[in-house]
Amino acid sequence: MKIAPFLILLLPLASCVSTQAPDVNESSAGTGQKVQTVTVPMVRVKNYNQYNMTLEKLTGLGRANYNVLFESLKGSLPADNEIEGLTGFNLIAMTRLADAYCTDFINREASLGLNGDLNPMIVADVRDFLFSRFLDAEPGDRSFDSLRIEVDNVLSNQGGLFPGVVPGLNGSKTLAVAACVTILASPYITLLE
Amino acid sequence: MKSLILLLALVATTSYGQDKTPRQLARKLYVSLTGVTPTAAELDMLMVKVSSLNTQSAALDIIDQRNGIKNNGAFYSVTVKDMVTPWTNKAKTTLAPLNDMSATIIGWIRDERQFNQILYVDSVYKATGVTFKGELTYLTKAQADSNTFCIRDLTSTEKVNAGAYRIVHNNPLNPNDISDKKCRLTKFTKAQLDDYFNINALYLPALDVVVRSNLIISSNEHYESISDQGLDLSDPRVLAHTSQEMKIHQYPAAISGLLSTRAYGVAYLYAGTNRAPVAFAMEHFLCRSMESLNDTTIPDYRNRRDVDRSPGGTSEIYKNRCVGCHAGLDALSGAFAYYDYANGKVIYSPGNVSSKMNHNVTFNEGFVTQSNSWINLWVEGQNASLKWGPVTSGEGVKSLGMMLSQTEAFHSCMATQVYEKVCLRHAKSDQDKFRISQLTEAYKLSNFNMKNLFINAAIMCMGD
Repeated sequence: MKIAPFLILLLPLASCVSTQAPDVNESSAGTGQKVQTVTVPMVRVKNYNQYNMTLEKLTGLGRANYNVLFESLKGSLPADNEIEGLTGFNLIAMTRLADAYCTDFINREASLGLNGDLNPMIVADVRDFLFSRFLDAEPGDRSFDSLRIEVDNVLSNQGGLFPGVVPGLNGSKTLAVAACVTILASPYITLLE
Repeated sequence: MKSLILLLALVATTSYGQDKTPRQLARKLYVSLTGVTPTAAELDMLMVKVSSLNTQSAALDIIDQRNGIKNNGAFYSVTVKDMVTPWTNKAKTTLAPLNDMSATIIGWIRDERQFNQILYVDSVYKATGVTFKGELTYLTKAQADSNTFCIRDLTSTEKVNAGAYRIVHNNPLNPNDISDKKCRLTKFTKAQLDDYFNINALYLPALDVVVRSNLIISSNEHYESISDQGLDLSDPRVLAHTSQEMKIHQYPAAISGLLSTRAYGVAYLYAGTNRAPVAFAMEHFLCRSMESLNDTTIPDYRNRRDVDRSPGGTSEIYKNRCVGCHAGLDALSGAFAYYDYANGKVIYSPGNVSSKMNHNVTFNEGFVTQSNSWINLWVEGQNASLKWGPVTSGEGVKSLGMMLSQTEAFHSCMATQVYEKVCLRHAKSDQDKFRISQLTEAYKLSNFNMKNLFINAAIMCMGD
């Protein structure tokens, strides 16, 4: 699957995680001048190992099946938890790994009860199914609202990210995989929190 | 009484995060210990325990996958492995594969063995099972049906699964009794079984899994195969304690816990001058780099002949810099005099000093290593602050490992690394340092139980 559309989707998702305002303390430090000490909120990204294990756990698919891809991506996935060192290459690698898991996950789940081949697809059903599997989203929880909108846009192919795909007629599995990747490569999953 | 005071102190330094809900605290605990995302169902269960301040039990559920928690041993495969893998290679990367050293540390933590013995006790963790040659045969269903003991051990479900092969093997719990056979339906095809027979792989009957190599003396394939298959390292059938004797070393005198594992040899005994195994032990087990240990007041009578006493034509550099590390390091590195690494194996030659200990003579009057004796000259001077144990000299690696294990810095180093790993930050602030001192004391009182140390650190940072 082409991953470029997902990357476009990922950019607005950077704002999904609620950001905590830095704690700012002021003191004069005996110099007569105000000195600010800023406590930076602790945000950490999952490293290659943590992310791979997370995908295994959430999808229920053995990570051994993805060894070849994982080994080829290992050097591009985040080596540690430092968010300052996170690069676009890391995000691409994470998205590619998520895509591999999601492709098999949707194929398996579609045959298990996600309306066969997903044609026709009911957007809300698929979205709720993915949310319940991957996120700790309780009914009425509004913290995932922006992600919910993004996922709905993907599932209904808003903006024609996947040319030729008409939801409900063809390519619904493609859209479901894309929605799955949108969630698994989102900060809700890639960050350590 | 001391335990009670310490417990109160731990509680006092624990941040229960009063602005966080029990669900958020449970999530933080889970992520800190495993590095993976919990499911909503898992949080439902953990939240109950966290709400009732039964956090210790919740943490154990997460680590040991009890009461409905399932994470394929992520605490061991991710958190512990990531922390200790840099100890096993010179590049200090977490990207290196599982090996005998990291597997042994994981096993010790899982089995709650007394961690202050890991540098000298005879121990290595590997998979246990039956080998294809001599301990195992495989039969077609028809052949197996005529075999009474085989049929007896198959479940009814397995019996109806016609066409599959049966593996007949010695009972791993009673391997020497050839009349005590077990039978297992296998998922493997005839071609795969033939392949495994040719390489004499290791079969794990309970899991119906094959580890491609049973040998750990000259290759890391055994551990890489475990890792490649994503096997759960918390499962005692995947990693079990055994002796290093005959598996890595021929001589019992060569065995000294982590310091005599193959991975330690690959990383630190290959080429060089056998100083690396000591220098990296200081760094990983005492959290002291050579730069921080540099003390030019130490006498240099054990400095070897390959240390130039006048680099660049002047002795100033030697006196003001080189001697600061070499005086202490060279005096300790004699412990590894009989070790080398060649052809994929750690070589131990009792009584024979490795040639690399005495080559490259630049100063003829320097110390010539003639035995595996060592002396700790850092017990005096600035490095006395490491609070070394009572043993200050000895012969061989085992006594060196014992000395390192009895050093106060070893315990605080473990607490620091666990704290940084679980709390996801570098310990820099006064609060961090105070917490680490509390964790160190609790760790010592718990008989050096590393699993407890991880749990205490995770709980301490849960509300941050």
